[in-house]
Amino acid sequence: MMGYYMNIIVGSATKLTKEVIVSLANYRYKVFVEQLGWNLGTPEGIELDQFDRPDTLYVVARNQQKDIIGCARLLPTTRPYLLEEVFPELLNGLPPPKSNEIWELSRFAAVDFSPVKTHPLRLINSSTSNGKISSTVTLNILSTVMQTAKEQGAKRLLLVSYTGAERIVRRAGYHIHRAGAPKLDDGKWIIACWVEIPD
Amino acid sequence: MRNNNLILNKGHQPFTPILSTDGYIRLTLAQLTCLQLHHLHSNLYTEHILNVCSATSLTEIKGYTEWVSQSQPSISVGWDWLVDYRIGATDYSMDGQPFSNILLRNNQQHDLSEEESLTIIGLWLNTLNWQEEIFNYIQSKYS
Repeated sequence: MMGYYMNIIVGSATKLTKEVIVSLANYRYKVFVEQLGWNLGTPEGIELDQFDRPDTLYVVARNQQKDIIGCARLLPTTRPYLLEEVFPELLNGLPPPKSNEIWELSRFAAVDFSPVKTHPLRLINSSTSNGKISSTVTLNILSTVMQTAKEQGAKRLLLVSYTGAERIVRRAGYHIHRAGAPKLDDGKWIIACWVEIPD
Repeated sequence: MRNNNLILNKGHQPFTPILSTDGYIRLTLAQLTCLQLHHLHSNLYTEHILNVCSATSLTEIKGYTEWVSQSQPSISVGWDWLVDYRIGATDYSMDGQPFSNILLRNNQQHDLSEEESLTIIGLWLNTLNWQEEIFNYIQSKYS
């Protein structure tokens, strides 16, 4: 298998360069609006929302050409977060947690638009013989997400995403279970899941 | 209490599922076998939709299915499936372990491991007639 150059950047909006933030917003638009078809009501080419705050933490993977090939967003549950504010019904009646030990993971994607277009859900079936996903990008992003959240004191993540994301996280080797049933939101199935951060 | 807040089946004692703060709904094996799940939705994975629609020489298709209880809090179970047309068009099998918010407990009310729990849930699901539901769904959507 050929090597795959990847550089992962971690930081809050105030720490990342303007170039990275703009590229990230463009990338998220391609993934979540154009490919997954989410109706996020964002301007053409830009996907940002009210949870992209100065204190929001980002994990951004880039290739050698500095094109973004994956991303994730981490929010503390002690401040307003997506599940709490927009999708509390995904928690199955559980009050949205507020804890330093629980962080929210959203806008998770690992799609490389550069060589061959890959559907985000295609990663689900990109398995190797041992059942683990072969996407180096996905594994590295998730590993960095876990490490970053852990450094913030998190023990668990609340993932809110398209339903395929739980497959990706499990196949990457992490313990994940559902917070409740998937719900249809504007024609798209979304779900919330609990992910244990490894010790 | 409204009847649809209960999970009733096969003459077993009805119960109301309790949601734990960790998101799990803990059930005993006896409670699991009482569950009535309802088909929520199913679909093929994207690349298989393309194959089915173009009627290529397909030997295997993969998809996923979602089932839910009518209780509140709701119990959710989803899993991937595959069908091997070389064997027979209705021979759907589960592909990997299911996804759920159920955590099974033993008779001593101790949690099973997640792995054990999902294995048992998968075995239980395979005693149910989910294959026919998916077969009918795929037939109606893509034929």
